[in-house]
Amino acid sequence: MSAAILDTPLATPRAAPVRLHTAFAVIAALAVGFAITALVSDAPVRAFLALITGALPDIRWSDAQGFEVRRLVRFGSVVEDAITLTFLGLAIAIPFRARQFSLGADGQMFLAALASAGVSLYMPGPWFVVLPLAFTAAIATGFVWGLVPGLLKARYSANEIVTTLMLNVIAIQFYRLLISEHLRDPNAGFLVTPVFPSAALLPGLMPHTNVSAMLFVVPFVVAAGWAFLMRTTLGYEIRTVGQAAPFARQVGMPVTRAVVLSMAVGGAFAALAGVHIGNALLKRLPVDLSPGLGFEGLVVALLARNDPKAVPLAAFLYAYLRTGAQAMERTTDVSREVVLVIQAFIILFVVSQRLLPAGWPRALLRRRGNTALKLEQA
Amino acid sequence: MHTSATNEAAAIEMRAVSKRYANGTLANDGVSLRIARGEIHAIVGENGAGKSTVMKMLYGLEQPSAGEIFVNGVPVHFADPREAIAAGIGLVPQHLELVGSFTVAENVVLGCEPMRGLLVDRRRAETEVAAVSQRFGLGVDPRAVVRELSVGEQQRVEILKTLYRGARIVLLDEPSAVLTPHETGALFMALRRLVSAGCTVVLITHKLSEVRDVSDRFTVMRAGKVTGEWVSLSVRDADFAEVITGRPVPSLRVTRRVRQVFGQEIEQNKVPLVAVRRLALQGHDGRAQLEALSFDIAAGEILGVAGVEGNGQAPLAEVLGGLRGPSEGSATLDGEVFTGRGVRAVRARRVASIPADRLHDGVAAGMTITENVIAVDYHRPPLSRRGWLDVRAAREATRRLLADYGVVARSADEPIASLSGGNMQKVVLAREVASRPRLLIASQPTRGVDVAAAQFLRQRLVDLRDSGAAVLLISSDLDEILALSDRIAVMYRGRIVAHFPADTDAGELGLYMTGLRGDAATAATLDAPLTQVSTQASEQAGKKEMV
Amino acid sequence: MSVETASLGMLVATIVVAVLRATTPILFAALGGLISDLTGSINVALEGLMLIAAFFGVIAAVHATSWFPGLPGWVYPWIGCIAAIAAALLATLLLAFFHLELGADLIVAGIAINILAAGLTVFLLASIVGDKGSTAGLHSPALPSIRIPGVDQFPILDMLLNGEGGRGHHVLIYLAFAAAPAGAFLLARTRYGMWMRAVGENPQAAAVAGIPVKRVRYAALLLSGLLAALGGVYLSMGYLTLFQADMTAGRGFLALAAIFLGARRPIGTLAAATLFGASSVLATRLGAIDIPTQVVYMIPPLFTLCALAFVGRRRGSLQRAAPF
Repeated sequence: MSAAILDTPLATPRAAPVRLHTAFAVIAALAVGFAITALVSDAPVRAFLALITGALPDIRWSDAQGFEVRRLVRFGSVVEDAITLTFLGLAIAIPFRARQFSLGADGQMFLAALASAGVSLYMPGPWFVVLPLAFTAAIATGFVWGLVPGLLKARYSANEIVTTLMLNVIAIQFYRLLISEHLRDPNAGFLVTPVFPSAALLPGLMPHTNVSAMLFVVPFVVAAGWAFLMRTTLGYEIRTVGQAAPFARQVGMPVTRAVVLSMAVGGAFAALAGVHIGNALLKRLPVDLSPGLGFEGLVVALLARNDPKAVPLAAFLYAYLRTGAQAMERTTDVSREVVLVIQAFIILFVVSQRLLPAGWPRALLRRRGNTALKLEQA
Repeated sequence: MHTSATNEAAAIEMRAVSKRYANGTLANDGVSLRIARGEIHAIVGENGAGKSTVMKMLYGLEQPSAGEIFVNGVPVHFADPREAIAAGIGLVPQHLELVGSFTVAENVVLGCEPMRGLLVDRRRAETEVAAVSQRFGLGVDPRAVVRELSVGEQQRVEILKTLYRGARIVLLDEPSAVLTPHETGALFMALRRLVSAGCTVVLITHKLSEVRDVSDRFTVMRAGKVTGEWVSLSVRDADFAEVITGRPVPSLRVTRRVRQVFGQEIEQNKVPLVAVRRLALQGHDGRAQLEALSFDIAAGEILGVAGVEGNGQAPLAEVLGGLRGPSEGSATLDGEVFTGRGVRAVRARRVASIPADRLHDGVAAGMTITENVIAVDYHRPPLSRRGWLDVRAAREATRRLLADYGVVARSADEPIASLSGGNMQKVVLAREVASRPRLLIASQPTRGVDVAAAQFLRQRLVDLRDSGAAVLLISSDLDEILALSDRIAVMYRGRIVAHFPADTDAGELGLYMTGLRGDAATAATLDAPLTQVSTQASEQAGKKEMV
Repeated sequence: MSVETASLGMLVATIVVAVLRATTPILFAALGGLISDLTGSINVALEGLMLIAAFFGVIAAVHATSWFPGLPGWVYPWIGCIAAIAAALLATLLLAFFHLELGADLIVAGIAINILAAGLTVFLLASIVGDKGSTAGLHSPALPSIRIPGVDQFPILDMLLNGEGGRGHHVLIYLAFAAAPAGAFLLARTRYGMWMRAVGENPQAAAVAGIPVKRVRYAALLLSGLLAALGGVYLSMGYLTLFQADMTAGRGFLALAAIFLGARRPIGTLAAATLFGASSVLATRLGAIDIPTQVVYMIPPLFTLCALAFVGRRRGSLQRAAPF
């Protein structure tokens, strides 16, 4: 690929101006979304209000029954999505810290879900046997599938954007093949696996929603992601390679190994999203599980500036908007895909370097670092 | 008062031109010079003397703050290079700006292509380019693909570019910086042909060989001012060298401890700690970057490598540092080979390295001080155990280091970019020295560092030496080499060309650094003979600067 | 000729025709991507741009009858085509603006455009048509086909030249396969083509030579948008005459892969795009035999990976190559 200089600054630890920029980007994107809504809707303000507040639970007080919380189901779906997106955000953020543009989260997620389904359906035993095994199988699968583009990059200098996209296709087709041919439920009217036995399901937390015990897993996973990057030698290598590859080479860091493993570890995190979808949300795997969540993970990672600590918040914000969009669609004449438009503009605004005029310590972060970022030279 | 006759004879004349940049730097101070038509004129000076600024003003890249510039007797004010080109001035840049996959003709006409209707008239381009090449004796095939040409030929394409656009005054920026001696000879012949075809050539350079071998007259600049103008033929070799070394800046004399026990032992044992034998390196383009280098460093000794940058010092540091493997030869420490095995192997043998480009290779500019300090040893206890970093130990180590080296920072977690150049270099040195290396390769250790910090760093190098380590000091700062080295090797074009003891005359060094004294390969091993100091130079040794 | 060879020939001809149809959208996008890649701006938004063009083409063609009534029937699909191109160019302009003026990373911005396209098309589809799936309810026209007369006597030739039913190949098929050599010619022989290649290879040299680098980059991106738009128009106004959500189905990314496979040259890209077209035709054919379609759909990406590995092995491993 010709020189594609990744100018996106990496995680910026303490720059308040950066958070300002991000906030500004989100607001600007919402404004654009509003403008588009206004073009097609008769009541754009009402629609947009529904977007912003639609995901909130409805807390009322009446004399007769005291506090009542309604629409928890809707809020529940925000939480569900946020969990999935947190995992996916981490899956993208970690390779990104090594300046690797790994878009393979979709494929890793699908294959991991498949592995987990295999264990869930065929492994007998109580939950404390099945679940850990399912997790392990999934994580191992995601790790290995993430290793592939890394190795292709290391051995053949194959650009990871193209390879991960191709691998996604392969993974998803394999998923569909396996579900159609080997894992399908003969009794179901459509192509889907049988429902997982209860030993393989994560216990629910909120009634009528799919919010499950996975919620408790999230803080640990986020902490693990943070600890991996900031407290392990491998994480340190990944960050240094991403920030200053010539320096890393000069001091003898195993640069290639760091690059390869960054993608593999990303795959492990994507795997958790797969387990979440299969063992918590859907409780079975349909053949037509739609791909594309990986790209949403990308937006989350960008919003969080590739900082694990910020990923859950970004994921939540994202999921919140998504669910709000669904609410908006139900109550107004605006369809929920407008949130995709907002997504796109969030991305565009967030990665714009010259959005707000001067006055940022950008030079601090980008000085000389960019010479290391040019892909390909003769 | 100049007569019109004198005015018309000058291709370029600058009268009391000054340039002060926005940040206050006075790059040129009342520069007056005169370049006659049809001559090859060199503007000479060290890095930072102000000659690049002169060149930029002549080409319209900068505008003078004061004074006047005349081209062919006409006063000019170039707002941008386009105006300079229109006035017949062309610039051949130091770093070639060509499109590799295009042919020579395509490169030359790029931006002003001859058209036939809507298409580029390739044939006309080729004929026109061939004609220009012919007329000025450049001998380049317009159909050749640039990527396949040698560097010397590519440079001639750059010259062609200027001529094609009508330049008759050609400025060349450090032209032989990228050429082999053979190519340089070819370039000089081409320049003479240019002149005989009616051009004027201006060389901006710090290489004395260019001045001596090809220029008719030259102007010397130092610290933004012109210090003199001479006719090349009338100057003797030794005096040329004085130009580059100049009057020595009051050197920072580092107290070198009298070499006690170590010194005597070395004299007797003659067993080197570090032995480099016939180290050679071939670049990607097939050119030799290092040729049969052989030298030793004894324990408790600083070997200084003097030379103008670009003569193989960087490749040498890379090979010894483990970043690249040699094509031939090897280097051993205590008898064990450490080259060609990668950086980690080198570091395992306790070889440390301070790279020349601090911001690019020496520090991770976007990370904290601690993250920079632990970069070499982070994978071992006490900084980490089984892959888990001990952050507290890291911070402690960093704080200790900062205190030891007198670096004032608010905390160990400050971004390293907040430190001054001097303090940053202290961190780099501290990190490298912390592992108690037996060999330290220090490339340009005090470049871009303030005086006080430089003094400190140099003292530390000496301390390291005194504790029994070997130090390879690669520096283009002659004062530094002279102050710190126990022995000196001079590198020129990838070879060692001279081997001197400490306290050698700077003029003598200068002769070898610039290739004026010949470039036969020599060894700088402990038992190798020392290069004879020429009698002529010793006569001149005490001479003051020429009038 | 014998009956066997006749039917074999017919089969081959049918397949060739199918390959031509399948290749066309990929080829358009790939050519566009190639031009912008050679100028140094990789355009990963080809997928989204195709989608936008496909959508707006149909919508404009259908509504044109009410906006400009009374025109002869054949004009409306062309109005649709123009609208499609305009819409895609607007989106490309958005991409170019954010990248060249506001400094956004080109790849990330390209992905954003893809997301934008996916959202916008479905959103507008629902608003305008009331159906989130497709415009099947609408009666949208197709661009014309070109029929070559006088070959009715030779059924195989007729099939090759005029496709199934003898109606002739779609005009865009001709345009696509003509665009490849045209693009090669443009890049090699015109002044702007030279400028584009110079900017892509050594922007510094180009700038010094007086070439307006930013303007050239804009032009390259817009040109790639134009070609991608044609690919999209073919999807919804060619063989099929409707718009479906996510109609492009990854063709934009296959186009990118085709550029790499084709060693970033026009002829190579043409060959690679044809290969991908062939493999998707293969998929449908093999579906008739017992090989599962999923396996067949895996073939193009697997092939791409192998090809990338092969190309990479010759360039040397990451260790020896310069930093990434």
